[in-house]
Amino acid sequence: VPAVCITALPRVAASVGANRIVQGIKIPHPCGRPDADADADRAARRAVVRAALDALGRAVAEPTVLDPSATW
Amino acid sequence: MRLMLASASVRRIETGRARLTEGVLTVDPDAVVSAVREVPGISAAALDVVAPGDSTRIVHALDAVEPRLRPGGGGAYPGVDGPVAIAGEGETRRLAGAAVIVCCEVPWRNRGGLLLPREGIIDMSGPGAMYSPFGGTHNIVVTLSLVDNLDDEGCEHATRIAGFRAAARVADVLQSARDLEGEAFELAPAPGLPSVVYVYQIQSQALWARTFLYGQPLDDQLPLLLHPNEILDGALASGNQVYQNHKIPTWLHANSPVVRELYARHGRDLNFRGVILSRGYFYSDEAKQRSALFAARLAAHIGADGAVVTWEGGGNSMVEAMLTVQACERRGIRTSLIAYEMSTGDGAPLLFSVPEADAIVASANTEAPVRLPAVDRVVGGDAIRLRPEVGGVRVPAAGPLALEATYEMYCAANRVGAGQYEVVTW
Repeated sequence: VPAVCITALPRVAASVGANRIVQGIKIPHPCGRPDADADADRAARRAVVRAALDALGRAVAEPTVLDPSATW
Repeated sequence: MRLMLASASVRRIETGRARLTEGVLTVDPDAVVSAVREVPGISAAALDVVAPGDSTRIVHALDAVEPRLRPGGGGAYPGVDGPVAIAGEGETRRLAGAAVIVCCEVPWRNRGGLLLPREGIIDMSGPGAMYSPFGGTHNIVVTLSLVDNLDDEGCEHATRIAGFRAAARVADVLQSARDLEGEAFELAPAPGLPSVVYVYQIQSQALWARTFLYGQPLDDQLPLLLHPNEILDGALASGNQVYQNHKIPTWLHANSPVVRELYARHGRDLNFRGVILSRGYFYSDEAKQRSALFAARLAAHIGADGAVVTWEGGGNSMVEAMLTVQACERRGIRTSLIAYEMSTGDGAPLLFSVPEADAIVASANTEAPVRLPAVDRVVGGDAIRLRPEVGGVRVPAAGPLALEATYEMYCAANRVGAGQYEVVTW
């Protein structure tokens, strides 16, 4: 079953051999920006989840990090 | 900067009229309790004296504070129990081998949250005693009750400040003490020896998980340089109660075995250049990397050839510790790390590691089950409280107890060299 790990610490996920890794936002809130206004928070959440769905469709041979952080 | 630590070794503690005679410390419970009762938020306090070898278990342990006195005036822990002042110079007197242990069953309101004060257990005899350095000290246990409806900030402040008030009152006997044993701490020039720095990574995140430097919370602090005398002279105070096995209480900051060992070898094997105080628990990868790079930059700036790294807290902040080792090594600074293991028999014992971390001293295995026998006496409360994620499960404290891991054992997984474990080299 393909799986994706969304995490604020991709290097830790990679060190234990996670295949598909998406750069999350912060450790307490990997999929959101509680510090931002509602629109920016929603955009960041969509970016993270879309990156995760994108990763699910990819064939990977080693820990691979997708980084949507440029969008938040 | 020259510090004189003048110590009275405590061999026994009694209660009665306060005095100190040939190693016997007599504590006046009424005086200590009334000092503690002045702290806003405290509704009642009780005092118990416990000694190594007693069939006694201390529960709900929060901070541990060494009773100290500055004969020149000012608080022993500047910025916390007195005006802000730079520690590490002049004379400080201490009751060596004694500790004030604050106990309180603080309300758990944030069910399921990580940052709440967890159970802390100290056994004074039997197999449980080795887990904690305070299984081997003479302890003045101050058990607190809080006023109703005190908010979390109030609970934290009251329980933290009470420890310093109690310790200060106990330490009053040092004002007229004689025959103290003096130790001088001064970093005389040590040319020709390898320069070594200690990177002391503490935990400071938020309420209940905080360390204070001269009274200032270190949340979000980037690494800074301290003289080791400041560490030994009360510059750091602990408000960290989230995991009692991982933490460094105030007593242990001021009695740091790593700082003392580096001092003992200064001028003989090495040139102890200072302490870089850093902080873990940054919430993003780049923030962790920034802190690690900054710590290594400071180490290089003061000419370190070698560094010893320790960290307070759990797996999150293991990342900063490892990245600090990596950053130091990449600057050509030979670096060793004191770490605990998280070994359950399968999988790696370290949550995260870097190839540069090739000199690691293991201090404990946090995941090892704990079996404690029944005891005759319990102080600090009458039950232990486990599993905050379901709001708390209470278990009679007198035991016997079977714990899944060391998380409740006070300072059992510290990485500053304190405890009564055997050391094995392999």
